[in-house]
Amino acid sequence: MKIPISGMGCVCALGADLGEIKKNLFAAAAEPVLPKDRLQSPYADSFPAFMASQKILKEKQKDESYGFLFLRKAADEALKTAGINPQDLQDARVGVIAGTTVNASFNCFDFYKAWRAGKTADHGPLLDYLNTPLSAALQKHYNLKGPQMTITTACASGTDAIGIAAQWIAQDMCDIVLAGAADELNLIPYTGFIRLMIASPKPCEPFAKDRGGINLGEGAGLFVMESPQFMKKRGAKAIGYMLGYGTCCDAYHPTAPDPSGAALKKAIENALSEAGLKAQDLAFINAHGTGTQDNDAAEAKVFNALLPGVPVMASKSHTGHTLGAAGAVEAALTLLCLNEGLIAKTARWGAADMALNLIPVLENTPVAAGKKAALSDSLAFGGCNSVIALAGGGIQV
Amino acid sequence: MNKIFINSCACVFNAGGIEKYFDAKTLRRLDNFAKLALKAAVKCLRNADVSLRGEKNIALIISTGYGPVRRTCDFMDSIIDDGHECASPLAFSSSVHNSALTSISILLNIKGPCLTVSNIETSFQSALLAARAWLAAKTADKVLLGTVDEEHSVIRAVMQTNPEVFADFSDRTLQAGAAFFLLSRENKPGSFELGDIKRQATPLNPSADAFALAAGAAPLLDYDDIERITADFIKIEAARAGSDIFSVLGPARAPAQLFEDLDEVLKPAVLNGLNCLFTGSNTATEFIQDDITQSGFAKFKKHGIINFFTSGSTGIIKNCLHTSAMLREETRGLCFLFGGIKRAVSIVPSSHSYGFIFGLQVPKAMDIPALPLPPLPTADWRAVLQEGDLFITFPMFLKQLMAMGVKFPQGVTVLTSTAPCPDELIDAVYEAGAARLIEIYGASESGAIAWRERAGQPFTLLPFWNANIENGLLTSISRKNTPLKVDIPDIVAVEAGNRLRPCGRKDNAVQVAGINVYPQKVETLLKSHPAVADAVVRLQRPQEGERLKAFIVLKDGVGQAAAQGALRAFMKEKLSAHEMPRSITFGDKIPLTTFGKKRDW
Repeated sequence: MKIPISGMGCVCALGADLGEIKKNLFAAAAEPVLPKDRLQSPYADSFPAFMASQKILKEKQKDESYGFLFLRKAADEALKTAGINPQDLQDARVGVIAGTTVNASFNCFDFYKAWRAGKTADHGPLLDYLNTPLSAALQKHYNLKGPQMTITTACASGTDAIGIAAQWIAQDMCDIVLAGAADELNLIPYTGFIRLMIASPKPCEPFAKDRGGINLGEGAGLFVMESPQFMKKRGAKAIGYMLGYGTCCDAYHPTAPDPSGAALKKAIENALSEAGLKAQDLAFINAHGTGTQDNDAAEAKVFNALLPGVPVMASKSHTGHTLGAAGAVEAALTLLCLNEGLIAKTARWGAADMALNLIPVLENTPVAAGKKAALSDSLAFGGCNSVIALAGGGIQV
Repeated sequence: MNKIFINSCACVFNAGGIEKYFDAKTLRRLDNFAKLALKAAVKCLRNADVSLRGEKNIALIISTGYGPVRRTCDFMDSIIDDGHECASPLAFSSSVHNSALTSISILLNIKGPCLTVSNIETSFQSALLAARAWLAAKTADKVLLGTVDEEHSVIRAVMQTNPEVFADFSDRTLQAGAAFFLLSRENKPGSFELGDIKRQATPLNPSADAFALAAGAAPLLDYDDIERITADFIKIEAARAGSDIFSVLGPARAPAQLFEDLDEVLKPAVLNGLNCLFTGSNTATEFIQDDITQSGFAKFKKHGIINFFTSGSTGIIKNCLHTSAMLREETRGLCFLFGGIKRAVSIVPSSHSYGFIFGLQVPKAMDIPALPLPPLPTADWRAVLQEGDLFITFPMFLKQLMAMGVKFPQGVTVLTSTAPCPDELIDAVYEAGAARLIEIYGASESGAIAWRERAGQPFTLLPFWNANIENGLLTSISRKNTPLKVDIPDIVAVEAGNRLRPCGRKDNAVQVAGINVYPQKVETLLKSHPAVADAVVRLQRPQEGERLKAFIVLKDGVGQAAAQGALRAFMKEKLSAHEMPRSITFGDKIPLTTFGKKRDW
């Protein structure tokens, strides 16, 4: 499989666009902050989150959610990079795939609390939930016609969105697919992760000895993917390629990963096999690396066994865990790094965990010569492990 | 586009009965959303004969319009009621859309690709696109694709208060349930090609496309139905043979186990019987003893019929073949009788026409739980039955209950069939507190024909029949929508307003000195004699006596005097004293009316 990626866009705590994100990623400039302005929770004084800047948040329209705001901003940027005016797509077979968790859930706490108390409440967030699955909303936003799908495989949603988009193109179902994911900071997962004791009151430290759990994040990532023929017809240029997709289920535990990592291993093997790659071809893997004890241990075990010597990038130290958006945000950061030829360092890293036998990239590190591609993996609630293999725009066939 | 086939499917609208597949400990932590999905998933795999453990490359795709809304509310409730610091982590982890996938993958050990999609009324269509992509890319060999949604008061309330948003809103409740499909590239027997699916889902019924697809693709009977029918059949055969009279009353056991416990001599006959039940033929037995339910299910999927065959005293099997379409027509045409019924409690075996329709099919059609119980005439029935129950019984059983002084709880509808229910028994059942008694007049050949509710009342023909009436008698009936035509085996007088009053069997038992005898049997025997060309046997007129009499047409060249002695000897050897005709009349032809019907002589 070699599906061209012609455009990408991203919004997260690192910035409102890829230019800003690139600058802040390699400078490790993003920090989690206490979300007191955003969430009415007693935990907001102690558990920080990686949030989109006020500049972005202010752009929210009355009838949209933050999640959709992030998604459309990422899509605007991706289409712009791809050199596409959405109005020119009216005759093309355009698919839209979006992943999310919060923006498909009935997480309308204020409305629900008021409704339960018999009071009248603002229906806005609820109508967002009922009326606008992200993919349908994006389709409507650009007035596109074609297949659309909102993926809610928890934290693997973004990776699945890109993987399935590539299949839609490979199978000639679509000429072009906008594939991405978005999520916004919300009281329900914020409280839920803290109550599951897997959120950290400190800035997260993926793969470090004293890692204490996740910091929530928010944002969106989106790729414009198209068939080689369609891209050629447009006279456009690929900025990267989707090479392989693998997904396998642990069938182990509702929230914890299988410590053996068997399904993650199989998903990586499947992605590599579809991409026609071997471990030694990889420039790096952008790990799920949430900073929880269990996740990082399971990933380290698999990486050590399957990808020995492959540098591990831990981008959640810059963005927090953007849940359903994570796979797409991280795919964008992975492609960004591949094209820059530089693997981003891990922010604020403490001490190594000898039990893991894995140290992520601690300094911005040039991609070794001859390395063609990178992996980005996601592990989700429910034991879903999804992996994609990406190559930069300069890949030689 | 590659062809995709639906190898099996299952649709459920409640999670009842899931404890059949999993123990209580496993189910304890599952919410309604996960249980609905899990039940449909298990049924779908059972219908496909896919082992619950061991399939290697099976993918799981779940679509849901709204996700586990109740669980999300549980979590929000726990924040509101107990404070943020005490909010339930379990409620949170099961409130994510992926939760149904989680439960199914863990409990069914599905380790292939997994995906959950959720975009309200387009969820199922999106999930199909993902399934097609995965099968085409060989990401998976099979895809277990399901849709699940649960009804929730908040969503309903919001829809009710926002009619401008939900323009098609009506008073219908949100349609909740789960429908699962096993998809593959293989066109196995009983499979359907997955074509374009008409969009009919709405925000109120986000899974409508899946439910409609399942309704079209599902066989009349699923694996669980065949399992119940097979178990009931084996129990009845065991009881009939006297080898294990108590098996009928015993606890529910799997057919393979029941079969294993049968007397060795009985096993071949039972296999023949099952073959006859599911194919209409008892000549070839292809039942695999080790997998008796699967054998029956495979045969049902192939033939699509049920044969409620009867074997009378002559030992000759009479086939009563019913196609799936006939059984569906009957079931649909009966539901009107049971408005307000909440549960069906049946003591009639589901391998019997009456038990099959009322104890198995009607509950499925009405989406109410079915509770099969052994026909134990104990006083405990008052404790078992509850308001809203349909109690499916037969007259002899009711008679025993009444003799024991059993009283019914409030709101129970008693159903009776298989034999005429005497007027005094009907009155007694009402006196014992039954809210309604419905007597069904029917036969294995036809299924239900007519119904009544009160002693002394005539019966009303059921709406799926056309009646053929001659000389004020119902002679035959034919189905309105399927090609089933049945001669009425009884003398049924048609009263004003097409009300029916059965007056006894035409061809069957008459009483001679208090003993049931069968003129038809004697007639058949006489016709088998080499000297006899034709014969009729009937009961004497009261002025003639109280025995049978015969009218015989001898073959050409046979002398009457010689024949008389030979026939007497022949009959004496073959018939009981009660069956012997008192008088024999000889003639050139059978006496007929001017309308060509047989008449007395």
